[in-house]
Amino acid sequence: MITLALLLLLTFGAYLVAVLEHWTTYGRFRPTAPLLAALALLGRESIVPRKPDRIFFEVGPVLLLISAVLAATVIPLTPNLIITDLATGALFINAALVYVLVALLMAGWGPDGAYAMIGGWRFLGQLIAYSMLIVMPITAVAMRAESLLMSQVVASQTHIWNILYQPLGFVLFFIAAMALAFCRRLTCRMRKANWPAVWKPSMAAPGWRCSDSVVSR
Amino acid sequence: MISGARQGVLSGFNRLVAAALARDLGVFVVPGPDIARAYGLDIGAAGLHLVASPRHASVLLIIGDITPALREAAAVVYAQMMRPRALLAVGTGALSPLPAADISTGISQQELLEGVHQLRTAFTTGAFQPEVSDFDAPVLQIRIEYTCPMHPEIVQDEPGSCPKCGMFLVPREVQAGMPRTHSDNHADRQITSPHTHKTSPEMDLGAAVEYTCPMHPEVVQNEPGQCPKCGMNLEPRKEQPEQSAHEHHHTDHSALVEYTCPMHPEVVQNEPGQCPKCGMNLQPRKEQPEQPAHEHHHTDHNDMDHSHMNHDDMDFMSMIEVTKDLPRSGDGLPMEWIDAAFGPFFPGLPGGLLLSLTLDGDTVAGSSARSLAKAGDPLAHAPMDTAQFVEFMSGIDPLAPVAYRLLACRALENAAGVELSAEAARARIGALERERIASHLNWLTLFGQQTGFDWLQQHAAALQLNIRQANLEQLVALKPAMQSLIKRLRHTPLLKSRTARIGRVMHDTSLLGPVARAAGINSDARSADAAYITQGFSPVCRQEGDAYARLQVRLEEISHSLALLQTADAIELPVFATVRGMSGGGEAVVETPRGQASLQLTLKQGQVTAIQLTTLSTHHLTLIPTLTEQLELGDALVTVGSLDLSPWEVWQ
Repeated sequence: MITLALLLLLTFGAYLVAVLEHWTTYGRFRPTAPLLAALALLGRESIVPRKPDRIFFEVGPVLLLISAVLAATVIPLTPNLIITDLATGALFINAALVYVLVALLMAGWGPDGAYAMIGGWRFLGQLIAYSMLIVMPITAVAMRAESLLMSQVVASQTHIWNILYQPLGFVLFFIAAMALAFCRRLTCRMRKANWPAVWKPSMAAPGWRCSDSVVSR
Repeated sequence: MISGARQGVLSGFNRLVAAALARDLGVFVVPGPDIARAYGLDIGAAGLHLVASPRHASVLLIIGDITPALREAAAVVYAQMMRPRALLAVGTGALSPLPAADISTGISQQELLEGVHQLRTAFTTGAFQPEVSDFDAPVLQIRIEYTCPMHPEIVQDEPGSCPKCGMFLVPREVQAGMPRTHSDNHADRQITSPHTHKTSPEMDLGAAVEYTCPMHPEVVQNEPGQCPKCGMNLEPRKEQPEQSAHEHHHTDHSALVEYTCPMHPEVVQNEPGQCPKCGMNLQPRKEQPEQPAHEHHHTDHNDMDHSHMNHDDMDFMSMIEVTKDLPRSGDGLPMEWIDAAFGPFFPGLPGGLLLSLTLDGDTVAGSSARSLAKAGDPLAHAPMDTAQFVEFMSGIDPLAPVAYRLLACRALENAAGVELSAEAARARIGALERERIASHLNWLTLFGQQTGFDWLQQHAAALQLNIRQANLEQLVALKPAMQSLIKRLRHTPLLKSRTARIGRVMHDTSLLGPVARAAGINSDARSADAAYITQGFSPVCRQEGDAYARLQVRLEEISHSLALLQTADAIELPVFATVRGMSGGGEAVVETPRGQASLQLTLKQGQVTAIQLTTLSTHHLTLIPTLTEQLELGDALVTVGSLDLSPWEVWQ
């Protein structure tokens, strides 16, 4: 029951990010906009640039989704819901998130266009800056738990939450996660459009889920 | 039914999707959102949302009459939009090579709203059709040309190897009918498609061979002789290997390339792949000329065909070898350069401005800019009467109609010797200053888009739309909103560090307008205007001359203009009361929102027969190459934007 509620909450969070994004971009609050946009995307044709690097072009967006899912697998959402409690969990999150960089660079290279490629570089530049802010607080949290096991990280917070124990870490982490969830807009504008449906949940999810992991119990 | 419908049946699910499509209309605006705002069109309020890339758009909105060059660029944009797509034209005449507009209306917010309503219906009912037609235009045709990755100056119509380094030429697509981007020695040669290419006899005999020094490759001449540097005899070399004396398709040429393993030379095949023995990637190699069955009739240069180039030595190229001929940038790092066009519809740049950048990484290695918004000489017109002339001048630049109208009226009054009452002159100041505020806000919107401040973009655009036609009371009511925008912008973190010290122009006395005033040059036509002097006008000046100073000057000018408006206490569009049958010459100067424009005209029996108009954008456009040199791409775009060019007042 809690599991279901939590999953619903996360989905709602991802949707909220999409609504907020529409609001900040166009200055109009339309709660149905992401839903309509997703439906409309189903109706659009899929066009391929004239000379794409076909492998990169197709793999990039999928890899992005995969890396987000991989990172989510080690996060203990409830005591029962953790897909795999890896012994190297905290490290695994970082490793999985690095593939976001790879995926975006691939997606930028794929269409064989100057705008997309520049978009890929710029995203890389921003992402490297912010992923440092993601890695450091995770390290701090793991050091306190004296374990890379995510379940241990949660257990270490029995007496006092990490958010109180390391408030600076939380603030930095939150800023970086929000920046990652939103700065994608810069590059997304320059890319082919069929994929944003995939991008939205995938990019929003790491931000929300990771911040949850720090906040959770 | 829309012209860009998708093939399909309007079944139950498709009906649902079509309804969603009709509610989610992304619009790409031609010539640009700045023009839409200048005409007072609020795209967001009409239920459309602006998108930056044609791939995200389902509606192409065309505003006003545009030149053939812009229409061609718009056709390319239209072809990149994903179906279902539609064309909405407001106040546009000819559209070719674009297809006919799905919905056409006039330029006003009301008509735009009706147009969008019709568009929604068209999408709901016609997004999917069993029978669809494809869109094609001559401008979309492409031609393949071949160039050397190391020597961009080598360009030819057929594949082959580079005469300088022997590398395989790589194919590159160019627009059919467009001139070569890099002209080689054969720039005068006819450009045709590779399949129909035949060379003239002179080319076969003479120009195909050039002579070069074995020691000094930079010494190249058309005749045999000695090297001026070392005195060695020059050796003949084929200038364009596989030069097109051969009448074969380039598919024949691909057979000339074979792939071999660097470790196992016995492994040779016609296609790329891995070595069956060690799994390494096979490397391309050129076959010896005598091996394949060359079907072309080699005549005189059969024996020199690749004999001077040892391709086999090129199999293992060191990094130094690979990069030795790459262009060097300021930091000394050799990198591949790419040419990219920013415009004519690039978000954040004025619509109609084409900025061509050569990028070295993300540094600008070279740039050029031109306007596509004006075709030919718009001033070469038939004689027109004075009323027509005033209307003609008002339509010359959609970004500053009032300023040009005032310019025309003043020049005509100067010719007719009409003296204006102080009251009428003040009312004209009101109209001009209101336009200045609106124009600066329009610029702020573009600036917000370039620098990524969404709030600035939204607030400035909303204010501009309100101020455009506001009367005095409305302006007074909007004053606090404008002041808070200016205050917020002054206190925006990182804005100064983002824009200071880039795009600096100094000591250029030919500068005009806010760009000049930001560089400490006190150039303002209003300082010499009696109507302004009586109001105690003094221009805003800054010393730094960079993009941040230009922003500051424009912000202060908005405040100044508001103060001027309040003392003028009247707003009235300039009109010229026709004087019958007058002759003579007249001249006038007006400080438009961008800077000084001057007009000289000749009247004969009440008809304007000749005019000469001088504006600043033509000159400011030439500053771009030096200003953007070696800037990071984002900074370069901000720099170009900070000049506030109007492509509509550039005469080429």
